Amino acid sequence: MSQGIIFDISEASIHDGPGLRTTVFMKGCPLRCRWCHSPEGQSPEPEMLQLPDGSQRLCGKVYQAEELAQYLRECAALTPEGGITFSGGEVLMQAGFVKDVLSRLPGIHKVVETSGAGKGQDLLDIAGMCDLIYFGLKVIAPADAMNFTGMSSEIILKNLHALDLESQTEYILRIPLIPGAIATEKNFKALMELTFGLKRLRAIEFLRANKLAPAKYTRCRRKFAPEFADCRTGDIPAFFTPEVPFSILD
Amino acid sequence: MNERVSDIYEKTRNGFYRRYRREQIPAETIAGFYHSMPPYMAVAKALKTILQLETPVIIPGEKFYFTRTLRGNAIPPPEAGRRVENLTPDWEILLRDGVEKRLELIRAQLEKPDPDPESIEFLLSAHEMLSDVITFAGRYADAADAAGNKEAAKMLHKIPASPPENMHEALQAIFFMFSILHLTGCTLQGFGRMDQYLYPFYQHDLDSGLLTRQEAGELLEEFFIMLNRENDLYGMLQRGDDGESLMLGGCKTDGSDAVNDLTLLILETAEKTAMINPKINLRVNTATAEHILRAGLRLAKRGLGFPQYCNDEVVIPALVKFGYPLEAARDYTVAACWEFVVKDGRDIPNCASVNLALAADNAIRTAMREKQSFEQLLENVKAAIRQQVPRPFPKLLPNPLFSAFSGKCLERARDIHDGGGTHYHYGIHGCASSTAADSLAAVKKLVFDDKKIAPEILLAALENNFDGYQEVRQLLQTAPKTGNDEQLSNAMLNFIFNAFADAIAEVPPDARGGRIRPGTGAAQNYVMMTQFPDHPYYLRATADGRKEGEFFSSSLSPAPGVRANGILSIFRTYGKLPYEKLCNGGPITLELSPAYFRNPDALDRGIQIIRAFVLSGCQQLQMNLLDRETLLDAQKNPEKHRDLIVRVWGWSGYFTELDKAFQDQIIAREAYGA
Repeated sequence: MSQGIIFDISEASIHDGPGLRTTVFMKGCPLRCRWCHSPEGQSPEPEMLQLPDGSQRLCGKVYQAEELAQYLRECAALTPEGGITFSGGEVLMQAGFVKDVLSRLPGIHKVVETSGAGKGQDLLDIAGMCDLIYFGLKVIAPADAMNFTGMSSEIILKNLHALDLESQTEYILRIPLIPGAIATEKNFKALMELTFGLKRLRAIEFLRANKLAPAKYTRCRRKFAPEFADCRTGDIPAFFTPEVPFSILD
Repeated sequence: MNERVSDIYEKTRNGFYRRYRREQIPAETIAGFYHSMPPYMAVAKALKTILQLETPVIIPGEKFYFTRTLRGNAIPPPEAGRRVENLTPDWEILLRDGVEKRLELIRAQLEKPDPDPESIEFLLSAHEMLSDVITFAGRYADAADAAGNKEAAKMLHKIPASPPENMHEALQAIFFMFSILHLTGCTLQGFGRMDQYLYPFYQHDLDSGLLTRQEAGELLEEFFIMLNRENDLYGMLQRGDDGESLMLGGCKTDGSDAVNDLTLLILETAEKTAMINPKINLRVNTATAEHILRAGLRLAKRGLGFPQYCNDEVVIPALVKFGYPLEAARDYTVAACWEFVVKDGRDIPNCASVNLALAADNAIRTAMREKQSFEQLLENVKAAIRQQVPRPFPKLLPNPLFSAFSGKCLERARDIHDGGGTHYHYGIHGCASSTAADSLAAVKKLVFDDKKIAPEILLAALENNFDGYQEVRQLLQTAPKTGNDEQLSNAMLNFIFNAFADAIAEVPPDARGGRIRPGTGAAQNYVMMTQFPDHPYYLRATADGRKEGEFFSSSLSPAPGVRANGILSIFRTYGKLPYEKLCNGGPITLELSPAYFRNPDALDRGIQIIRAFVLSGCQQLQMNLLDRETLLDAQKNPEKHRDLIVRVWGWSGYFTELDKAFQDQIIAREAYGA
């Protein structure tokens, strides 16, 4: 049986799919987005968090696949209209474990949230095992992506197209409105162009920037230094008129 | 609210009506009656005296009539016996018969051959009290005539003597009798299943065109506001601790769905009036309609600390298992706070409290001192619980007026304290359960299993309130905690409640067949047993890492400072309790953060949280709104927050009127669902 490392589980979550969700946050991410609102999800290792009251908390708990699956089945039994969501960090970094757990959740509505930064085959496998994908797209131009997320967008875009072409699972783009990085004219134009080429995209959901992000960096004993902007939410320009519906999530 | 009703609301909040209270209830004279006369005579004489001192007040523009003109409380001297409290009159009897028909029944009973002297005493007393109620209503009618208020006069010449014929008359009958029952010393009264007994009147008024739905709502608004007019006189420990619970939904006595349009209208009305009374309770089951749950959630969002939810699928079987007939169980309501009560009884649902954490703490300290095994420790917990279980069989005070509207007291010619009722049971709260379970789990894991803390070190740490033992305290805090559905803490929690229920089951019934019903509530004890060292069940530092002076939680909730994984883990934890043995009630106390309700989907998700609560097999739930920032600001700037309401335990109160210890306990609660 496989094991995985998780930095948080949120029960009765109300942002991560239909109905009441139990959301598992996988620890470890290949991206280093400057605005990242879950810095404790970046390292794939357990780490001590420094809490505001001076105490410390160990972040990162290792689960066996069946142990986690049992916990999730018991939660899901109480939420017949909802289900289980895997988020991160980056789910694809622990794809084997995630697949193992997903396979142990028959009859339960499953959502996976991913940035697409991982192996294409893993994404397709996982998509085949769940009911909905939230694809967390960020900066589209490869060089800009390298600058803002620490990784070029080429693999991500390739995986997005593969998901669109080869998988039957529905997906939604989820995009944080980070001014100066994502909520720019250039990126909105690229996004519109990109979505015209996608056949099975259901919708785009924009997310407001997380005002609590700086405090979370302090807890990880790091500095929140996005350099480009504060935590304001960017606007959607008037020219942004994709073919799919879009909305801003509160 | 329309302008007229808003005006009554404002005056109520401003204490305007207190100006009518000109005289004091003559407490010494009343006490004298109880000391010099047989109880049946004293209780009637006391009411007569008080009603004669009351002055009818007819206020223009108001639709309900009774305003207190006497200050103070009409409480019989405690040595006279335990008064009726925490019970709901059977309002259906009043609405069906009115007072005159009850008097006719009494006269018929008195004419029966071979009378029993006890019965005669009771019947004569009841006759006198009911007659005095009619006389008093007549004085109100005369005052209305004198004031030229024809509508009021017409109502008061008829109600409550004759049966009401419409919703306005029905509510006036209840309000008038409720107010007079308070003058007999009867307190913490409930309003029972109002959507059931009021529904025929509501339906009649809509069908006959007497009222529109909106007008019926306005009538209810005014009635609800009236329930807040005198509540500074009715409160027990703090203002707001005055019962006035109202039950909605659930099933009929035949098991079919009881929800109707009045269920919804009452929920909507409570949301509009947004006052501390009446406290709304909602009975739910797997099939409860979504629109009812949605209305309940909208009310919860209003931040009043209700509705409180009761899971019929767990409550009814537990009441039946205890021995109540199925039909009575299906017709249950709650007492002042959360205790499940049936109609035809003289139960005392909150007789006493057992401090479960104290029982655990005593056993732990002994076991550490005497180097006992964990098995021996658990035996000691059982013994310590047994020691705290009282034999709560008090002398009961008669109340023939209450008896006239309860069960078959008149038919049996017996007061409710003396065979008129069918059930004479007692309720005992088992409080501090999460602190108890967490203490045992910490000792089991760290002292016995992992051997990370030596017994003498734990004992010294506890005796020194962890001063100089900070590391021990931190270790203890790492043990499994109640609320996370973990094996060890679950096992300890279930051990505690089984031990509690078993200790209670050992108590033999009293002469009336009364047995004790164990419950899971904490009531005021989270303050009384942690802040007052003179309390006989005062709790010192505990082995879960809790320092002396820190609170324990309200009823069923993870211990203060413990943040559970989430709402579902809390339900999974508490869904495993042996509720079939715990029929006295006591809710899971769950606080939701303001952020939760800011989400546009909050109501939809809330409906599913309630469904999860039912599915998990939990018994009772308070799902309150906790806005810590606002509460902290209200402590600093009370004048800005005078209408801020919070759930305190079985009741809601105005936050700024609470003693600081209660404010602090609420602020220390965890909020979920951000």
